[in-house]
Amino acid sequence: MSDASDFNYSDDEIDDKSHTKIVENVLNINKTRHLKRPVRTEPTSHVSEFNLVKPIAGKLANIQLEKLTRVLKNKKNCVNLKEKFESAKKKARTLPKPLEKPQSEKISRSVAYERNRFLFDRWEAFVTSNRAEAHRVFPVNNVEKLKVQAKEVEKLPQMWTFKSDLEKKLDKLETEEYIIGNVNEENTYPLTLKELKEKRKEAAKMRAHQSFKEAKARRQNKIKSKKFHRILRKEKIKQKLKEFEELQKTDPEQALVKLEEIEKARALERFSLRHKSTGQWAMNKQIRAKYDKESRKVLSQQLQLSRELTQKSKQIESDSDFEEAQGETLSLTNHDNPWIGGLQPNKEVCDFVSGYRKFWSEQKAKSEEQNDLISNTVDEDFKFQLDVDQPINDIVEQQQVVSNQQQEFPDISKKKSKKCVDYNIITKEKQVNVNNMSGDWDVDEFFENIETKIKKKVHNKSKNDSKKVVKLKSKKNLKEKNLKPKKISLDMPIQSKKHVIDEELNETSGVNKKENNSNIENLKNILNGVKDANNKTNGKIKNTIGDIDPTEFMKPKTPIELDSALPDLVLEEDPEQDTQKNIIMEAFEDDDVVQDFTKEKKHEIDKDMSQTIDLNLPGWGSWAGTGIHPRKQKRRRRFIVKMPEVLPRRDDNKGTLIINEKATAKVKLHQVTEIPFPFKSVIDYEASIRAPIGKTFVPELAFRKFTRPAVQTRMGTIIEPVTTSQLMGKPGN
Amino acid sequence: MKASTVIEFDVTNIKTKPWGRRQEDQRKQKFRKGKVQKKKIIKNKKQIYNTNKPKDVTKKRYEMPKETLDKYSRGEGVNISKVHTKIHRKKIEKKEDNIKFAAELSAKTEVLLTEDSGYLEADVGETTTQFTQKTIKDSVDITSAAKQFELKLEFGPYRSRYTRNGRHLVIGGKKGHVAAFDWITKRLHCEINVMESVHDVSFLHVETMFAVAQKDWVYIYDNQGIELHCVKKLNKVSRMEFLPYHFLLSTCSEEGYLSWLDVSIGQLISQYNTNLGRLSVLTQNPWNACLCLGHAKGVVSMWSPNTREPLAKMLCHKAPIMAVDVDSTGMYMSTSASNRELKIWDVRKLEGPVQEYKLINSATNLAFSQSKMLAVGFGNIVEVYKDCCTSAEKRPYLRHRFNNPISNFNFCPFEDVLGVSTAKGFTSLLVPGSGEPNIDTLEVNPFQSKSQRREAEVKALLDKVQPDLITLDPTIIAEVDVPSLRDKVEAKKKLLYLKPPKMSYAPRNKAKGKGGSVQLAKNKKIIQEQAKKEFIQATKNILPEVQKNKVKSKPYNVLDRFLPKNKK
Repeated sequence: MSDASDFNYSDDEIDDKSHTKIVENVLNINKTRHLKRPVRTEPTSHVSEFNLVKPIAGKLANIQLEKLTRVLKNKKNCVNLKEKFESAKKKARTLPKPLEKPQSEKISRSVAYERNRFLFDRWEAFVTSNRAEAHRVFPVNNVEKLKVQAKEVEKLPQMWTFKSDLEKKLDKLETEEYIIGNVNEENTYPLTLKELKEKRKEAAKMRAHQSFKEAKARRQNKIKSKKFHRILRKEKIKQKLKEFEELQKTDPEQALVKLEEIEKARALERFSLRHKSTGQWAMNKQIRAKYDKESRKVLSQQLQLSRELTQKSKQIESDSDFEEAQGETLSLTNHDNPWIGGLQPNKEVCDFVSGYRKFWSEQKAKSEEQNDLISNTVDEDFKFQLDVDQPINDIVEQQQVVSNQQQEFPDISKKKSKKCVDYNIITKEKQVNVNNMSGDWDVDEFFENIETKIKKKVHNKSKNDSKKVVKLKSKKNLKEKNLKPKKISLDMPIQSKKHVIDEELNETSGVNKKENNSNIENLKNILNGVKDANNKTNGKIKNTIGDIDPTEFMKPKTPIELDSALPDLVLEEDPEQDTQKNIIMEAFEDDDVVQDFTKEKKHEIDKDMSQTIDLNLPGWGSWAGTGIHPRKQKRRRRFIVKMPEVLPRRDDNKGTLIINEKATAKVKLHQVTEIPFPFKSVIDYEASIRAPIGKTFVPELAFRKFTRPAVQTRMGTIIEPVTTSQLMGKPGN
Repeated sequence: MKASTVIEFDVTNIKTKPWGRRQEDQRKQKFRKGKVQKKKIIKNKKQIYNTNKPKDVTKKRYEMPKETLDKYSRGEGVNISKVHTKIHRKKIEKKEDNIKFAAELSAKTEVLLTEDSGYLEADVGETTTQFTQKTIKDSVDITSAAKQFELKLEFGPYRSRYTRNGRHLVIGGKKGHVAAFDWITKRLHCEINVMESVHDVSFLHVETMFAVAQKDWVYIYDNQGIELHCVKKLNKVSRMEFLPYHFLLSTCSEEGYLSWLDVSIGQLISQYNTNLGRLSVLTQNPWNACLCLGHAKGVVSMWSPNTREPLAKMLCHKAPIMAVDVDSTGMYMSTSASNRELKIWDVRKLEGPVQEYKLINSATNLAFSQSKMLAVGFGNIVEVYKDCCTSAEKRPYLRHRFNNPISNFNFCPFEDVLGVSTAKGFTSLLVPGSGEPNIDTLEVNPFQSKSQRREAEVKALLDKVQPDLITLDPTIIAEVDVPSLRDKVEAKKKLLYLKPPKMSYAPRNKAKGKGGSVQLAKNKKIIQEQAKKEFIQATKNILPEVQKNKVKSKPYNVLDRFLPKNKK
């Protein structure tokens, strides 16, 4: 209990002074000094800011507004005041602490900077345009210019003159008129401002629309889902089909054309070798190939066939190359051979060349007469073959190739020609627009889907016509002329044959026999197709041969005997001796001189070759002493400095020429070594100084233009600084 | 008040019309501005005219034919997208426009080239070769006929040379006879006998001075025959050429020396032995001012005063070369050899032969005219071929037979004249169509007055080209010197053998009690060592890297077997 008694104080016992002391002491434990708030005892106008230590408002404040307003609680005449107070209370926020001086200054600076930046930015365009100007005249006085113009306007009526007859005549000649400046300045603004704005708006809309679409397309293209694409494709096809059906109803002819287009696209697609092994047949075979030898065989055959088809043309081309090479070697040997040179084939060769030229031009004009002409020329060829020089040899050989090829396939060409006639008729009637074909269509599927439907439809439509044909066929008289309308409706040109075979499955009762017949024909066509393709490649070669222009060939470099006169005064020696000497000289002429020269050149080249530098020192890093034989110098690789290979010399491929590449050393002192500032590349800098500007190189007027001073000032005039009135943009804030 | 005494000028109301110097200034200004005003006037006129016409008619600017434009075009311009800053881009764009404008303007000024070079045209069954000088002389006007003349002289085989404007002629006979005269008016400047053998003559930059290569030395005379100089450094000279833009008198000597004498400062620019024996076939390439020498081994070599090796060597023939000549545009070079060959070369590309001919006799002299006609001389015959460079000619255009063997000939510039000097005189032949019909008098003026000559001389001196710039390609000065790989290699080679430079180490004034001389020496050593190391490191970095990027092979780890194998 004694503990309790210790804590029991009665109020009486507490001494006031000691109490305060204790309180102070207790407070002192915190060691924070509490400043005493200064108390105002006298009314003064000045309130020291240093006394505002503790907040006046808020919870910690001595005076709290809320407490004060409590008084107003029930007083009716103070409702307004109360409301005011309430609203103020809601809105009231304590102001943030004022920023420290450097920070506040920084902010004010940045604000000022922004404002001034805007002011200066207004000048930017003006300044750049002035700086970019090559020539400027000061003082700039726009007013004076206006004055001049005004003066001219005054003079204008004086310039009206009647035209002389000559002038009138000249006016009629409109081609040679000079226009100086824009004549139709008024017409350059045909739209009002409003219209212009509208137009711009529309254009912007369009652009936006376009960009949206592009973005969409890009997005869609990125989608990898096959299913999605399949759906998309199918949708497209459906739409196309719809369109097509509509077209069929409205314009059957147009529909036919379209059909043909589709067909062609498909054919091209098929032709592109993308679907080489993706067909049903090939797939089946591939599956079977694992177990079945025959199917393997067939597949390999097919592959080989395709390979042949694709590679035949190259082979032939390479052959011709080889022949050319042979021709060159032959001619080279001819060139230096004095025996052949003595034969003087010049005239014959010339005749032949001229003949060939004629032939060539004719060949270009009329392809039909080709064969006869070639055979004729070939006959001639054999006569001259020995004498003719290189290029002519080439021509001859190429011609032979052509003729051989044509002999190889005479029957084919005949057949082809017949068919060609047919196709020509067809194509003429149909006028296929190959160029308009869009390769983007997924032609295959599209075709497979619609083809059967459409064909049937078209068949039905043309049944009336075809009935007659069927009758004819029953007699088994295939008259092509009568077949023509039928063909138009059914058969597609050239590459569609394969497709017709597929049609076999969709047999229709009405056209059966005819179809069979046509199918057999088509089969034949396909079989021949291989040869056809061959023919085509040949045709290509033919074309390339046809394109060789004999004028393009280098002229033979046999020295031309000049028709010069013999001087009567040869004082030196006897003519006989001289000729003999000449003959001896000619016989031995080349070897010595040429060999010497090549040797010299080689020496020169070797001198310039950069060699590796060996920095090995003898004895370095090896032991020495009695009984130790100095081994052969170990070549340390790190002491050998390899030099990069040098550039090819300028005279590298020029046999009889040596160019000294070190000769420009003295000029280099005068050359520019670094590209000056605005240029990024050497080429551009060189291009900038490529043109001379001197009076002796360019006309006077151009010279003056080139050498105009950048700044021109007029003497004795004050050049005022520019004012904002020069600026075009809106005045800033 | 004091202020009232100050006179105030009313600056706002200055006289509008300046006078004196300012007036002159304004006049100039107006002249410059005049173009603008003129344009405006024309424009207004056009507008007025236009009112009479239907507005829809599109007017075409007269278009120059593309060929003429191409002729003057300066090639492709700067790729503006590859230029820094917008401002420079704009400036360069404007410059490009100016260049284009200049090209167009010069194409337009072709209208002013009114003169056309005519030539002989044969009727059916005739050839131009059969026209003799007499028939030509009879059928031309009297002034042209006067240009055909013959001088019968007796002092041995002559050599002759025209001035660059084609007005004056200097001849020198082997036996010492030297004469200079205006060959059109036939006014004699001087005639002397130098009492020595004369090997070659040549005018200097003006007609008032000419050089004569005499027995031992080269002498320079003025047009009165007064000996101005005797250049003893040029001895035993066989042939001379004057390079007008460089003011160089270039000579080759019988002892195989080539020398270039700067005539404007009187200094020998360069002289060295070619080590190719006796030199007697010399010509200059006017396009690049190189000298072309013909040698006995069938080689034509080209020389500049800057290197002692030839700039280029071409094996042109398999027999000794007899004559070489380069046409005035520097496109073609013709060479003839003793095996009766005559070849035309493309001397800009150093390729060829463009044409090959075989003559009946070996040609001893060749000369191109301004219209690229080629005169070929052998024995006593001179033949002129018209288009022998571009196409294979068969027949000569003209032929003339002399009574004496020819020693040398030159086409007279701006005249249809071929001046042939023979063993016994000088003959001036008419070769229709050989000269350039349109004279650029700013360049050379045949009708020069005395003052004009002086003016031209000063101008030419101001425009003198330094001999350093004689190279195969004269446009090299407009190219940036991008160091070739060879140069880089060379520089690196030099670096390899470079000793590290010695550091000069001056110690600071040391404070008292801070380290002795030992410390100083140590510091010095340390610093010097450091500098040396740095230098060596720097050179190493510059040196070509020898397979620095080689991948180090890692030692095989047991767990590597689980790594995916590299497919190779």
